[in-house]
Amino acid sequence: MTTPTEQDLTRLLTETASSYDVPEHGPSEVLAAATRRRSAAPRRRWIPLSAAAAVVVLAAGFAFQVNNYDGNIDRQSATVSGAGGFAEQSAPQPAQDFSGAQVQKSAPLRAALDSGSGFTGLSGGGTGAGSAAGGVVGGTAATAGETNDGADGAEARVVTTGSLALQVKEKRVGPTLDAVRKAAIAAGGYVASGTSEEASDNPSGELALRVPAARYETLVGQIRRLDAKVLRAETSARDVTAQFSDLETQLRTLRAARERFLVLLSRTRTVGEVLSVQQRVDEVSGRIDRLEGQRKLLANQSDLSSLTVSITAEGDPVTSQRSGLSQALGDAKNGFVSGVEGLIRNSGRALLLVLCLAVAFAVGRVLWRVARRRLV
Amino acid sequence: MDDLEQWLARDYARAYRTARLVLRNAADAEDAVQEAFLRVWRFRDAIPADAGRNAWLYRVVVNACVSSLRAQRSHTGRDDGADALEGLADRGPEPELLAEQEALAAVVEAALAELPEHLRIPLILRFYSGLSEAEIATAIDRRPGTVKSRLYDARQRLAQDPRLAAWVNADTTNDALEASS
Repeated sequence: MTTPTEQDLTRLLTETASSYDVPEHGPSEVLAAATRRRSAAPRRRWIPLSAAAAVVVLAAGFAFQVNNYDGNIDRQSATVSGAGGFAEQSAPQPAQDFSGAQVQKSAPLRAALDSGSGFTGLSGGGTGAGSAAGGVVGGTAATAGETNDGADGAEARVVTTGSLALQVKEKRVGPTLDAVRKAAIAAGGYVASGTSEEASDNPSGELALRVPAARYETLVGQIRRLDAKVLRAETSARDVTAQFSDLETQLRTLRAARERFLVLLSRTRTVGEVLSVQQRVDEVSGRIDRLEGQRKLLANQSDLSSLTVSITAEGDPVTSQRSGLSQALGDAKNGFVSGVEGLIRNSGRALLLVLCLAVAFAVGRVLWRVARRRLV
Repeated sequence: MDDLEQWLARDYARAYRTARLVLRNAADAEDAVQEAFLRVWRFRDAIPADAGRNAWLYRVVVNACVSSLRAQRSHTGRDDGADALEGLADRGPEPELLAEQEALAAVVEAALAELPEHLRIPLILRFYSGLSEAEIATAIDRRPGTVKSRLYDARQRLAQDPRLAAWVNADTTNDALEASS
């Protein structure tokens, strides 16, 4: 037995192979097939990349929007003006000017002021909370924030905020501040914050008051009776009944869902099932906590009205109203801060989403490589 | 596309004949090679930089051949006879030489047919396609040591084929005679 040498094998195989005719049409068929595949299914690397980028952007946007909605109540509540409001809020937002003699005001409003019968121009409308909103600052009508039952049986909730700009004689700023503070405490409220510059050339002071909604009108009336000129008075009422009711409904639903998940949790057998159900329980609990916080905030805002009283001495240049430009700059500053807060607030969820997508992309890439190796 | 054309012009014939040696069937070999070129061309950007395109081409050729062989086993037989007749009809005007070549081909094919796939394929890749052991390792997705071992086993098996040994000895004798004269 002789083992064929490498040269023998090469020669034998080469001679054998050379006896095979190579099909002349073979290469052209490969070329034609390659052209067909190319035109039938053009493969562009940027298409999946663009699709992935679009998915990331959409997901981040969605997360941002969801968070935006969740945090909407916080931001809206923090806004004293009360304009705008929640999307589902159907009642128009009354924001009336009941300024004093030096500020222009409509005739009906002046009549209402003079008669002390409140702001007849206010109208809640729509959701059954109209009476409450309409009576926000009314002397004889329903008082501010009063929790009436709406047409649908839901407890009416109105968030009332207001401001008074008073002008007093020189050296009367301090005593007036004290009088306002005492009036607020007597009405069952408290001073949330206060500043005063009584020793300066232009003495002034400002108090932010929180008073029970039912006593808001009484307090405004007492302040107006002080020895001071009312330069500007504003009140806005925001009907949050629908929002509050919606929160209550969501909370009930979520609590029921959590109960069901907890029952399921007690029936799980495998670790995978436990983890899956536990994750849902955690999600629902987190959602309940957030909504509960929003509900409490709304309840607090509707239970306690906010009133800002600013007092200046006669001759103080600050007594004039803020110009439109100043107001715009202030709004711009607030908007900027709100935007930054929103970005920071949502960055966590967006980052988590991007991380998940990155992991999915990495896994997909590995799978693709494995599949490619198997394909070839 | 020009690149593909050049590549085909350079390597198609050898890849086709490799597949033909493995499959012993013209149509299957053509299909296997066509699919192999298309796949490697399609995934050309994904081929590792340290691996030659040809090694991957033969890897795909081998995979296609193995698939085809499995299909052959489960379906119809080979058409060696028809191919051989077709080949003879197409040959040029040297019948003696062609007959001798056909006879050699028949012996080699028979000897190859006796080898199992895992020995036949490395043998063909090494001694016809001219791939190195490392390239064969890439092509059959095995370690170079395995390739070396399989090549050794294949040669040992071929040594036991008396007809092939006769051809080898005859050629060696002829070479010696030509050298002495």
